[in-house]
Amino acid sequence: MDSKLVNPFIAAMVSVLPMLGLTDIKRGNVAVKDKLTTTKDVTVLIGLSQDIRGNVAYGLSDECARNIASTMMGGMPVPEFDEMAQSAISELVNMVTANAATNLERLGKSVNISPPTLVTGENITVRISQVQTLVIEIFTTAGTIELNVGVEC
Amino acid sequence: MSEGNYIELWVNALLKNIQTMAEMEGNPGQTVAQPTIFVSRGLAVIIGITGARSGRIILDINMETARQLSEVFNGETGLEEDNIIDSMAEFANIVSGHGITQVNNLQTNLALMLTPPSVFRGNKINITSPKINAEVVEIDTPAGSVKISVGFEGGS
Repeated sequence: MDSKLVNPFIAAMVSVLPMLGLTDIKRGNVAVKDKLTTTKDVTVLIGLSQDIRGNVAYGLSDECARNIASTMMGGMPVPEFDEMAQSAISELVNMVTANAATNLERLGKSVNISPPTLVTGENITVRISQVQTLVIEIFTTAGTIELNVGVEC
Repeated sequence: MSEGNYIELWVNALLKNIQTMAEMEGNPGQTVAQPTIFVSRGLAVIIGITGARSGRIILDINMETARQLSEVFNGETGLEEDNIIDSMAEFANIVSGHGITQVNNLQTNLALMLTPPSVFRGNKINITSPKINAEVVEIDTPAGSVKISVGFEGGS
């Protein structure tokens, strides 16, 4: 997978998250995986079609998801990852991915994104791509978001 | 004008392909509105829909049904879990492809496209699709039950 395709997603995280109140956005480890076994409590999935095809999955712990939702809702306490918090996280993922799609358009690639799907569970194995998946840790003040990109031209 | 999910087209695609690929008869149940949380039976394939309308398809089964179907599709037994996941993703892809072609033929202005499949395998999997209105049909087969959910943003 071309790493040039990943940078638009990282750039989108760096640009969109602060707009939602998250600061100190830093990139952590990068790994390549064939199959994904996630220990994250929450995964939000968005599919891509047209010039770039594939999937992007955002993984977060329950605590990080609630922290982010709370930040997005002006500091309101979020004791449970309820429907409102799920909606907030889905919206965040939508905004980041839409921003990434705009970045990709600047590279001459036309991209359509699907609506976000939020998945929770235990001992989850996720396969988002037939080709390799690039896994990038993104640190924020609210916790770590794991960006999983499995896309190709 | 209410915008439907065209789920019957995907159900037909599923029945047709189960017949062709596994020589099995499927019996579809009623179409019901999907509750906010879709509870998976263990293996869920999620495929996104983009175009004039956007949404997603979920094909959901338990591992035993997935195993049985995969064995028939591949013509061999003793498959690794990886192979089963691959087979189910491919099956969902084929069914979704047939479904989307029928929708596009019916409504030529939609130009719907599919995203590649994602497969989630695990325990207590709950799937939520905010802003999506979906319908679900459960299809009984000799290998077990297959559930298909189709939903779009907005719509009925």
